[in-house]
Amino acid sequence: MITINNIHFSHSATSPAVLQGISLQAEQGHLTTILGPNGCGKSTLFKCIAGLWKPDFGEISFNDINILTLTHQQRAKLIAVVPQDHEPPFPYSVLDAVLMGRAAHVGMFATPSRRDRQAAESAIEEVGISHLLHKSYTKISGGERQMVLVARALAQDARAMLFDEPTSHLDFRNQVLVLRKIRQIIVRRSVTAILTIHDPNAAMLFSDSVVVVKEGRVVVQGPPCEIITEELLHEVYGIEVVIGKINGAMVITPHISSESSDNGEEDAKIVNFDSHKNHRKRRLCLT
Amino acid sequence: MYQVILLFFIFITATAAHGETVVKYTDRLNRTVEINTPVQRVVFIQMYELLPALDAWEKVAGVAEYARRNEVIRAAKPDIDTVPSVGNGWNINVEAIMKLEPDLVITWAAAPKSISFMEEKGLKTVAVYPESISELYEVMQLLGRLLSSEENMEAAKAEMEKIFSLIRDRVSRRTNHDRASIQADSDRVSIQTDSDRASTRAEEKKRKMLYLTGQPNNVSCALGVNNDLLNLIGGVNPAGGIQERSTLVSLEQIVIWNPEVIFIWGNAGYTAEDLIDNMQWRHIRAIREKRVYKLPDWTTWGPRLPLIALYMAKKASPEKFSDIDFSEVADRLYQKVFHIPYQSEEAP
Amino acid sequence: MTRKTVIHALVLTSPLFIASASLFIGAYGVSPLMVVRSLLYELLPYGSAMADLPEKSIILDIRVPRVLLAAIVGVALSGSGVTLQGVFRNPLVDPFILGLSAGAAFGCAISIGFFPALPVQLSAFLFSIGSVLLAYNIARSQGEVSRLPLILSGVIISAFFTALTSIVKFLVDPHKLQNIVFWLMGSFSLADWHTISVSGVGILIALCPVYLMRWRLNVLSMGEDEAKLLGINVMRDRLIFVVSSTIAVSLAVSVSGIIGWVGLMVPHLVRMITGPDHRTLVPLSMAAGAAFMIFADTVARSITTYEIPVGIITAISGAPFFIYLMKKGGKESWGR
Repeated sequence: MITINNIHFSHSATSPAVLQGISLQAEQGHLTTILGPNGCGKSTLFKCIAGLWKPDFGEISFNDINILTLTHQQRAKLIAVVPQDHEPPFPYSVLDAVLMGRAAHVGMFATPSRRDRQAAESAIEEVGISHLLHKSYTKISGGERQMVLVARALAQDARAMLFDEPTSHLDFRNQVLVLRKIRQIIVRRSVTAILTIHDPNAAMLFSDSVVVVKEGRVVVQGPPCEIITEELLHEVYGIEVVIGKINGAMVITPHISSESSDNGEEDAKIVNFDSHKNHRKRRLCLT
Repeated sequence: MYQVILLFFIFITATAAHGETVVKYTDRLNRTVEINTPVQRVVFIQMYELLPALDAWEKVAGVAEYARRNEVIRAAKPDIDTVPSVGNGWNINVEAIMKLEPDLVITWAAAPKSISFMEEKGLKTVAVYPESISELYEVMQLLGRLLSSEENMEAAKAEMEKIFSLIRDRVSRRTNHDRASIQADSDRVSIQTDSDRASTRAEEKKRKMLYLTGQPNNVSCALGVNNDLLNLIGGVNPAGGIQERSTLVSLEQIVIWNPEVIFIWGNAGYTAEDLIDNMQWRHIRAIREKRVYKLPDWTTWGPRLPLIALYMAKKASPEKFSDIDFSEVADRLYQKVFHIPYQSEEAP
Repeated sequence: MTRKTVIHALVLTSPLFIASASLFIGAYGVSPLMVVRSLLYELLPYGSAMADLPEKSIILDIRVPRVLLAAIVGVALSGSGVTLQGVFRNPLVDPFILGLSAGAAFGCAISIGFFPALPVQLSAFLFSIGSVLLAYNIARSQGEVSRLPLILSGVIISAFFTALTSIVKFLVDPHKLQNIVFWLMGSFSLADWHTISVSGVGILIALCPVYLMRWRLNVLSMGEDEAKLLGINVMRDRLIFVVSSTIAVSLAVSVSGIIGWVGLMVPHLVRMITGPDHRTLVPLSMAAGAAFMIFADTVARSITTYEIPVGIITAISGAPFFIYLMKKGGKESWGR
């Protein structure tokens, strides 16, 4: 479990605080999503948890271990990170790329052992890209490359995983596949997972718990179907939305027309069956 | 009345005769420079060792810092520090030169960029790089003309020629020792044909001599005064076929050449012992016979050139110069040319 | 035995083949039989039959040290090249990028030009290390040294020392100037056993950390942030790589002058052949560097009576081959 308590961060003494007292909890075996618009501070928060930036004050602990004071190597054994943006410098093979996830476990003057290689290979199998083992990872599709990064994080054998906007560069099909796969892994391996995302639908569909962040503060945290309301989304994103349920899943759609509100309501009626406004009675959250 | 007019005319013609003439000189960089003579203010970045011989200190506006450290100059003009320096090693100061407002700057041809820079600033420059004895004489003559010191230069040249002639004369002399050593040489040569034997008897066998410069395998080649010196003292330069001033050769090549005598440039960073003790050179005849000599670190661009030649000649053929006392000869030249005595610690 | 393993084995052993061939080549004609006998003489005293012949001395005192030194310098240059290419995530980096060659040139120039009492090798070595130190310190900000500032400060330091060297060249005696120029152009012509025992051993020791830590170059090449996330102490590891390479290259430059192209080209070519995994790339680059350097030096010393600067040979032979491979490989050859 990851506990984050009252994190403050600003880039310098004179600039305004990007994070103003963020607190949240991420349970083991659950996918906790940090949701918010661009500039709300979720990337900054992410970097603080990942250990790239140091918060001005506040605590971040993993199972009662204060991770702010750890070395990179110690932290990497506990937390594995899947980055958003990756510019491949050289055409490593998929196996070699995933093998790098073992860096925290390999001695300074050593090369990966057979055990390391096995961990890499099974991670590759787990995410389902074994057929690409020796292919150069610059020559595969965006979605496949994202899976390589996920496999790399898996090979790290860490109890917690962080995903930084894993679907922002992917097409629609891959978005779904990747998120599905991530969920599978988290549940199966029982890791603590935090994911940042800006698409509220994805957050709704795949998360166990959502932390909504606006302007450096947590607005609310909880199961998505409980806390994500049209009012909340309007408050955070400044957009009118309608939440409906299709096939048992919550779906958020924005109001397209911005003319008269009469038209808007009518549209809402047509689209909206099983309206979310009745949600208190019916729990339609993900189980 | 007429006398006055006549006197006036004589006066005019007289001054005209002694008036300015223009010297056109094509220097080492193939630039034709026109100089109004006599010059009044000259800056010597190079060729400064001629200054005590020129004896025209009032025309010297400035010198390179190296000049101040030159032992001959210090002895000839103890108050050399009163002559403005145009920079020490770190800083040839073109501005300083400009401040002195010289009519002429004498510098070397190895830095053409600095010359064009100076010309842009309005300084008239002459670039020199004497690559032979005759060229050296030519530069001396030019300087003599420019500074109205022709007689001094002629006198210096005469003294230098005396020593050169002595060397030429002795070298071409066949002594009994010579004949014996030619025979001994030809005995030592492993492959002998009849024609070989004939030619070694018929003419003096020239000995192979190398002149090494900054690095032990940087040998003087066909161009330049070093080659002239080797020929002058009766040697043959195995690198004389290479049309460069000097070049790097492989150690194997030096072993192939197998020189009998090796001379080392006076300013080189290594000594004769360094080569004699060096394992890689041990099969070379000059090293086996320990005939490796480092020259005094005097410039070859000055009146001491014949002394360098004499030094080399004595080392190369000691038997032909056994009666010549180097210090004596040096002293005579120093007195006649520089007007100072020779300090015998300067060269062995 | 896969095709890949065969290629790797060939590259790894290439220096041995080329070195052996090179021993038979040289200005002084030594018969092949004599070459072999001379070599064997050292390994098993061949009775007292081998007198101190000039041929034996040519082989053992002149050619063998020269070939060995060329090999070691080749190892240093390409080993450092591949390391820095990994550290800076850029296949077009050469070992001199941090200002090293400019510092060495300056050290050489002032030693030959003004302080003959200071040995050229020492001066060049000290100034090469000094220039990298300077570059490192300029790039340091808040205790951290990142890639881009480091490269920029390398460029600045290079420019600075190059300017100073030009001034020295401008002022110095023309005879000395020629020595400076020759020295800088690079040569193995004076290689002897003493040089090898000092700098050769030094280079091999300095490259040990690079060799042992070579897998970590894979991770470092992922970028600073990612490498940290993967658990690498980026600052420490990068410092070790830069220091080791700098010492190795400074030693190489101090004995052989500045030889270009090898450190840039050889690792790049080897990467095109064997792939970017540094576990194989590093040792194979070193081997290929040794082989190439021996080859270039053999050409430099045997084509004409006088020595051609080996840097010219490396440029002439390397550049066209490099261009050909790049055209053939297309985009991939850039390592993307």
